[in-house]
Amino acid sequence: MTRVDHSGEPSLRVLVADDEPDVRLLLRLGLRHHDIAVVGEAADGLEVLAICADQPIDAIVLDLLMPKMNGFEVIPELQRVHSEIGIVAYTTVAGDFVRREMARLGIPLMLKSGDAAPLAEALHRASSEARAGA
Amino acid sequence: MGDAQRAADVEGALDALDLARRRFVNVVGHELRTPVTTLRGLSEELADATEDELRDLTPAIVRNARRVEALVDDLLLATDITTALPVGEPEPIDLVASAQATWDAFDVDDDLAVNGAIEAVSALRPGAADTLLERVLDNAHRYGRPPFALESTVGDGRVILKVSSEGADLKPDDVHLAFELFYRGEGAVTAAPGFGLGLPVARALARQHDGDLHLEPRPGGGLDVIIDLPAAV
Repeated sequence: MTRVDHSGEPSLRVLVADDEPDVRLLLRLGLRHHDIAVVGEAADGLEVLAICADQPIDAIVLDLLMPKMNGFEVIPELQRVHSEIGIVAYTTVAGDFVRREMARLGIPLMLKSGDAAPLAEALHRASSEARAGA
Repeated sequence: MGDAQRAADVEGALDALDLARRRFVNVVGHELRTPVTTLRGLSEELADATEDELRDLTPAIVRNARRVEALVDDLLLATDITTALPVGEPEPIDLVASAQATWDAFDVDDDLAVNGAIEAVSALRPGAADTLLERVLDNAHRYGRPPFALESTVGDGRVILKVSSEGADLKPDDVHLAFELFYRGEGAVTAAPGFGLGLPVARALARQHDGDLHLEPRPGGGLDVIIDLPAAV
C-alpha cells in the first residue's frame, strides 16, 4: 500500500541510518516514489540521536550493525526520548538473536531489499503507531 | 573400537560438516545480499533518474559491482583455491609506503602511527601487497579502536610489519578462530558487517610469498597482527 498525499508534499519525513553510503543513496531515491522524503542521513547511532534532537523526524530506517553506537543500543534511547518517532529495523542479517531482540523491543524488522515498497509501507505504519502511542 | 563408537564418531563428523556447510551458506548468502540488493535497487532507479542523480548512481553501481567481485575473489583466496592467487613475476615493493597509502585511501579521521624502519621492501606478485595490507588494516580499523599503529622491522632477511589496534579483550578462542573461515568475534558481530575473510585472505597471500601472518592479543585489549615476509634481495 502506498499512501498518496494530494498536496504534493511528501507526508513522511524519514531519517535513514546506515553506515553504507550506497544503501543510503538507494533509500533516498527509492523511498521518494512512496510519499516519503528522506530529510536526514546518519552513519551511526550517535548521529541518529543528534539529528533527532535537531529536526522533526516521523520515522527512522535503522540499520542494526553500525559503528560507534549500533542499532541495538540506540533503540532504547530513541524510545525513551523520542517515542513519537516510528522505527523500522532494516538489516541484512536476521538471526534468532536479532528477531528476539526486535520482538522484545517492539520494533518491526525488515530484511534489506532492492524493492523500497514494503519498507515504505512499514515506515508509514510505524510512524502512525508511534504518533498514536506517544 | 566397537560398532557403536564408530557410528557415534561418524555421526559427530557429519554434524560438524553440516554445521560448517550451514555457516558457509549463511555468511556467503548474507554478505553477498547487501551489494546484490543494492545493485538491483540502484539499477532500477536508472530508468527515471535525473542527470544529477545519475552522477551519484553510476559510481555507486560500479562500487557495488566491484564489491561483489572482491567478495568472490576473497572467497576463492581464503579457501585456498590456488587458481585465484596472484600471478606474474614478484616485484620489489616498499610495504611501509604501501601501508600508509592504503590507510590514507580509507579516508578516515583516525591516524596510523608509523614507527621503525623507514623502508621495508619485499618482493610480491602484482596486486598481492595492496590486497594483503588492505585486508589487515581494514580489519584493524573495522573491528579495533585507536590508536592504530604500524611498526616495521627489517633484519635477518625478513621484513616484519606489526599492525596494532586497541579493542576488546580477546579470548584465546577469538585469536585461534580468527583464521577459521567466516568466524567473527563476538564483539564484531554487532559492530560491523563482514565476511570474516580478511585475515585468512591476508595469510594466504603472505604464505604464497614464503611468509606468514600471526595474531597476538594485546595486554588490556586489542590485537597485534604480525606480517612476516622475506626481505627483497
